[in-house]
Amino acid sequence: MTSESWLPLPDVIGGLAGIDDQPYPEAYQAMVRSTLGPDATTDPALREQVLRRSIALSRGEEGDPLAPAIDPWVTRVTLHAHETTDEDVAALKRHGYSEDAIYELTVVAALGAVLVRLEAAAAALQGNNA
Amino acid sequence: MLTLRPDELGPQHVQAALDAGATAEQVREAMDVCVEFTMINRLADAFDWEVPTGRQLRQTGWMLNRFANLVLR
Repeated sequence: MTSESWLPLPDVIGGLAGIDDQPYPEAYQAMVRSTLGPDATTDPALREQVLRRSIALSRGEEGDPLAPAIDPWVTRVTLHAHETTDEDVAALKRHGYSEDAIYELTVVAALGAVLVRLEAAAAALQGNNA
Repeated sequence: MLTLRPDELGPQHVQAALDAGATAEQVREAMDVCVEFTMINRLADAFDWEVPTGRQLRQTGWMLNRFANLVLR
């Protein structure tokens, strides 16, 4: 399996505004590749869905909701991480998510928030020619 | 702004920082810090990480510097 086959990278991050002239592209492409790559417990397709959901939420868009068992956790981590509770994690476990799976999906959700801030930072710098 | 309302950040905020005496490099570094803590804060909140102190704090600082130099540069 090649990296190209498991990650449609341009589709995930290629549309981020103002990024081309900034020092970030290679670095965050590497972050996305390693986070969505095959060396993990969860399905890469699920991690990509979580990333897309987190990016949409971070941009203030609705996006495509995930499965009901995981969508509230991803939304909370993305937008209101300080409101997460032990009960949230316990509920995920009751739905069959292992601790490794919860960790991986949480990192991916946080990465979506990171990418949108990189996008915003790059656009502001580009707009100012700084 | 970048931390809480990234969709409202614009070139005028960069210019305000430059007008206040910051260099372009300093503005970029400030943005790097915001971006790094976007990840760190979420993981800390989700998993109840303890705030490090003493030697652990120094090691965390070293790790963050490495992260900034290796990943964001």
